[in-house]
Amino acid sequence: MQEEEALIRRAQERDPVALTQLYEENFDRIYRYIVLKIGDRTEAEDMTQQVFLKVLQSISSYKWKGMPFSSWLYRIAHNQIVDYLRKKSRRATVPLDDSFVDGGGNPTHQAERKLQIEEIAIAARKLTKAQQEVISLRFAGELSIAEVSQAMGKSIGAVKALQHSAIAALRRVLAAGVEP
Amino acid sequence: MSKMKDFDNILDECLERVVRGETIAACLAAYPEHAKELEPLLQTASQTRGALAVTPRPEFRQTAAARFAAAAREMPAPEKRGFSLGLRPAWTTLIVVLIVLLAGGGTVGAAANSLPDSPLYSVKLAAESVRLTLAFSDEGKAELYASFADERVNEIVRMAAGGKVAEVERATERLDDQLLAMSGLTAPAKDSQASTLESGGFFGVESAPGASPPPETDTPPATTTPATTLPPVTITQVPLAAEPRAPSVLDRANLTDLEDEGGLLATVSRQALDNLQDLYDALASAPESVREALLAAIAVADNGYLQVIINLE
Repeated sequence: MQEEEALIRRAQERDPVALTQLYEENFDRIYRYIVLKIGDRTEAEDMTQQVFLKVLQSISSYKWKGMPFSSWLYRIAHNQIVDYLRKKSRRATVPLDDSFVDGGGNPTHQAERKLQIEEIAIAARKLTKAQQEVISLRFAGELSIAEVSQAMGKSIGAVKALQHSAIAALRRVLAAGVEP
Repeated sequence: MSKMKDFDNILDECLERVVRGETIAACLAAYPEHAKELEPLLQTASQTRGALAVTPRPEFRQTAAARFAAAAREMPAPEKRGFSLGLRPAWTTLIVVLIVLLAGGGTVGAAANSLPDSPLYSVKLAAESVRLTLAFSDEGKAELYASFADERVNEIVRMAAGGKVAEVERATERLDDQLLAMSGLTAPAKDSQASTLESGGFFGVESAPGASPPPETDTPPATTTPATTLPPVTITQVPLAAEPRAPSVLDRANLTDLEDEGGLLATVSRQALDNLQDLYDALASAPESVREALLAAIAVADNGYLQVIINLE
């Protein structure tokens, strides 16, 4: 934690090494979190860039109070997503854009990967919002339990219990066979 | 510790171990008494993690990194927020302090009520910037951000009435920045409570209304509740569909509870309710062309204020 605090202080002073480190450590997982939330590669790419530009604009006002930096970062990403979904009207079904699925150049593999993602995505929709968020943050965002706890404003114990219920629910839905 | 909590801890430990490269079998061997229950959960988690392992395109990664680096180089020096004159901080401060000192009947006074489409608007933003520079305490800065956010909403409403989409969008961006800054200043230390980070499902789709009930209920929220000196404030979540919401839906009752209260929480709570009300009123009469921009402003205001209120509670 002390290391992160020092890193953020340096980033606030525009230290390019610190900024690059924060960027590199979080870029992939923020992108993954966003793309899996909205299912559109082009929009997710744009939004990911916006998140990090927003970080640059706002980092000077960030106050270190012992909370993981990632919880602040995910708050920014979350706001971007909410704004995007609001514009698109989130009740509409967003078709899965398969262009973000990396099939290693192999169309068969790409189709299989798309099916895998779709299966999980469809199953996850049957979960409660909190369960979905835990799955998104833990498995797409790759946050630790402590980071998820801060991001969701729940105790570590509550997040662990939520994680348990979310995985169990996901398993039941997958076992029953997902229906779009 | 209850058996369930114990199992939650073991499951989490195993998930972490699998992420670090251990096999599921190794973890099951460490907890043979829980193996039967653990195995399907770990397999599902592993399947989920594998399916969600999406990576950005290399070309995008490269372009984004270059853009980030360029933006970092172009950013003004630290301690400067919001509007920038593009000068070194000391000069900016000095110049704008002078502007503020001359504010009595001069340009700043005239600019105070200017709107984003006015030539004096940049002076107004500069004056705000220097007021922030001169506020030394976090609370003082947060109060200023609250006041500026209030002003941004006023600008959004006025610009929306004139059908000025670009101005509404720019004011909304500033509102977002200022609420985010206020959220940063008011963020509680560790062990803070609830946030709003729970909207949006997978691929932008919520759990469908009327769909089969969730397989299992959520866990209860954190067991400890911070002591608050003010009654809890609830802002009803703004509906996300592109339908205007009747003003009466806003929970004005809570405002009554806060009438006699002071402090930043009460101020921000009143402001949040008033401003959401104003934005919804604006939405009801705004030209069609600005409705989308106004909905975005409502989203920003709702999320931003809610987070600050939660922080302050």
